[in-house]
Amino acid sequence: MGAHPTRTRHLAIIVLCTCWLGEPHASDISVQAARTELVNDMLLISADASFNFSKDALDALNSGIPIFIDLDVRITRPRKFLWDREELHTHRKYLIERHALSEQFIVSETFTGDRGLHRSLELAIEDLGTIRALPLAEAKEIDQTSAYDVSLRLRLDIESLPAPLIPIAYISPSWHMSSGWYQWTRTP
Amino acid sequence: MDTHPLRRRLIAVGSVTLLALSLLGSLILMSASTQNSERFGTLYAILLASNCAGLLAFVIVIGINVRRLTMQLRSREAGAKLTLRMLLIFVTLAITPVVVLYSFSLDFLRRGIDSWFDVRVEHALDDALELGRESLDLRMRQLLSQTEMMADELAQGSPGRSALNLDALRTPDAFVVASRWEPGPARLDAMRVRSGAEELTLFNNGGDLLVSSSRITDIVPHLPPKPVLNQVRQGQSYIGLDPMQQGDLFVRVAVNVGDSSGSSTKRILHALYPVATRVNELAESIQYAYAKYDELSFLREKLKLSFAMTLTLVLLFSIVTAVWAAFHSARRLTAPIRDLAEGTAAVAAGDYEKNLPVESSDEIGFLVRSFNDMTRRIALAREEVETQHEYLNTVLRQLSSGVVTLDEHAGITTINSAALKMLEIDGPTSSGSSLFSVCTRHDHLLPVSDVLEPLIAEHRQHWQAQVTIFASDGRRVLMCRGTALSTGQETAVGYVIVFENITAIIQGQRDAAWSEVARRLAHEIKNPLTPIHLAAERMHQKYLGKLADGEQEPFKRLTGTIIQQVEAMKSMVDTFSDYAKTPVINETPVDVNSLLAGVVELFRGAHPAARLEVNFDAELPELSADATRLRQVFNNLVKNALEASPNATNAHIIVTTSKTRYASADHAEIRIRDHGEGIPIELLQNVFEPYVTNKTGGTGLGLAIVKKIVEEHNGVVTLRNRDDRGAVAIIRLPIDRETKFADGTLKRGAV
Repeated sequence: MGAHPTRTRHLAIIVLCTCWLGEPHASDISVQAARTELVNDMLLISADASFNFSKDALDALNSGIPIFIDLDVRITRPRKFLWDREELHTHRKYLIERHALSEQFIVSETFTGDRGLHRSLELAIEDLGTIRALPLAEAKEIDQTSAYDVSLRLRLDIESLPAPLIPIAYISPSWHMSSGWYQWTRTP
Repeated sequence: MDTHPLRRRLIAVGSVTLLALSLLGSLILMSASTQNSERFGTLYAILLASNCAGLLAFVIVIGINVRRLTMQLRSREAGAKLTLRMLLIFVTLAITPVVVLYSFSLDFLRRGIDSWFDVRVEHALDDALELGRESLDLRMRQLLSQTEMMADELAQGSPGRSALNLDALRTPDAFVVASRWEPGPARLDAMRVRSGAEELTLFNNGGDLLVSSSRITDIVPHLPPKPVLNQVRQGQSYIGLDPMQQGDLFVRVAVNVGDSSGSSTKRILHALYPVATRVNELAESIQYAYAKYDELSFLREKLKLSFAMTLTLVLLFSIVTAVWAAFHSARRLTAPIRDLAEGTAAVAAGDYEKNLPVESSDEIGFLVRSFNDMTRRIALAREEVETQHEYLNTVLRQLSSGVVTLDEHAGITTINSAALKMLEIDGPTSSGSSLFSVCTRHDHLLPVSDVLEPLIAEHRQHWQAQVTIFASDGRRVLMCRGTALSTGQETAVGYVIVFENITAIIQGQRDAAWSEVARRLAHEIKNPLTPIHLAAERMHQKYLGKLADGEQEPFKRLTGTIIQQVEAMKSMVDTFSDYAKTPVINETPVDVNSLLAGVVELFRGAHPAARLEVNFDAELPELSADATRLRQVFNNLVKNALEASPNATNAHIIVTTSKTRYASADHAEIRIRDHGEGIPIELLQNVFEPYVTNKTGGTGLGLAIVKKIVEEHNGVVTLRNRDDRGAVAIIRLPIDRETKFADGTLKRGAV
């Protein structure tokens, strides 16, 4: 007796979905290193990340489409018998865009207003991956006497793309860029 | 009216309407976000998801409706086919224009978007950008030359100040460092004012700040990017257009400052020049237009897809809403028709109490009200008919005559109790069963079937016939009067047959007729015989002695003949008189076997050469009968049998008795069989009538008397020819009958 047609169809859909989800993304973000430091009672974060933009994203950038990168930072305090307590969860947003008239690419951080101008896209992407002394919070907000965990994540903000691009970005894996959570423990 | 279904329906319709409105609102927002991403861009994904979810909800609702309709169609529910037909019409009417509009809109949309992009516009924008660059480039070259001149001017002097660490400036402490930095020397300040620069900064070759002058004094100087410094260190001056944070354009120039003293220490002069306000505005406008056009060019296909997706969602929304509305409308429209169909089926099945709810005041409501009125009237008429039927049945039950009504196929529709009793029909007679099949099931009713079948087949309006049946109590003569029932048409729709038992009447009439005959014979024939007889005797006595011897003998013989013949005539008249008069039957228990045995022995003595066989049933019970008259019957029949044989010496008579079941009653059957020539066919019909005989010496009253006596005993006698040879007389006498004995007592059944 042959397999039930409906069941076969369902199995095929599941296999396709699994293949799609399981396919390693050609574009991605990876965090190589990250650290926090206290300077003048300010908690600063620095990180080195590499961006491997997909061809679609690179084409978009070259065509003047601005791309926003979300930086999520989360500070949690581990507890013995309970789940970790979240002490800080903050967001920063980076923007990379092309300036046609000056033939430069601008990388800016929307919170501090820091910006860099680059003659090429490669340099701009490199600059995007270099986060230096970005202020997160005042030191007094975090108890520095004991160890705590810091998590960092960089991801492409699809919602900030132009509206016609959003549905395609949601569907296409080439626009789903995320570093995942990069975590380390800071000891006093 | 029950409010729960109404409330449920209102809730269902309200929910779906709310869903439809929400979906419509969501689609409007989505459409707006497609056109204006800044306003609704963040909502786009939510709107898309909610629209898909809403559509899915609609599809589920429609799926449920489709499933329900399929089940209704499979179970052949009333109104299902009509609902399907209306649904198909509604859906076709709704979807066709929508799909046509959709395809045209999609085409226009694509063409519209494509029309935004024109090669000439693209070239114009490129040219505008190039023009902007060229115009700025000229200015930038002047500024480079001017800066190089200032560098040469600076080269005349020597650096006398300690350097400021640039790396320190790139840290958050830069403000602190800057605040400690003193304003530049007046010379650099004068050069900045003279050149019109926004900022003038001098670095050493390592990138450390030596001195700076800025139009705004309380801010940190703009530091050149590392690639700029690297370029200048390699001996190449840098000039570039930099958009600042506020969107203003600045011209950044960095040049090497030579040392006139021949020192190897090199310095870098960094200058920022503002672009003229008008030029800045124009450049910004070109940049914005170019960027937007570039963005749109890139999003061209995506935009088409996005619009198409929104339009498709609108189409799907329209379709699912139309389909649902079609379902709802078709069901609402067919609901009263379905109710009517169900009501009609119920009425057809005999449920005249069916009452349909009137939910509208339109034509369909009028139809429903008419239906309810019709069922009410039918119920009333039915009650009236039932009352009349019951009344008719009561009347029929009270009738002494049997009444049977038949349909056009002779199926019994009504039969009253008198008919059942008269015809002795056992068991239930289901309505519609044929009268003739009932007759076939009851042997004694075969004569009824034989007589009535041709009469009914002739379709005569009125007829009457006399039928003789042999019932449990013996011979029964029925008068059947039939009338064809018609409703104004030529063919009869049924028949009514009235049965009357006229056995006693016929018997009485016959008795009266024969009594009259006897009286006339006594008066007309017997009375003259006596004077003839007396006259002959007187003549014999008076004239015998007076005659001569030779004449006396003939005279004596002649008078003797007269007297003898007169006596014979007297005897014959007496016999006929005996037949004619109604005797009083003196019933006593009679053993038929013994009685027959006596008769047979008598004839055996008289005809010793004849073969007289007997075969009696020993189990035959005694009958209540008049033994003398029964003996006369047997005598006559045995005598006839012997006389029927051509030669008495070869006569072969077989007499048998048996107990038989006939017409649901026990009978004594006596058979007297001869082996003679049989009865001529022409006499067979009337053989029991008086004076019917084929014998020369017979009176013709023998068989008539036999029939009369048998009928007096409620019996029946038949005479028929056998297939092989001879004839057989069959007498059936009821065993189980009510008998009035001579002593006046009544006894039922065998004695």
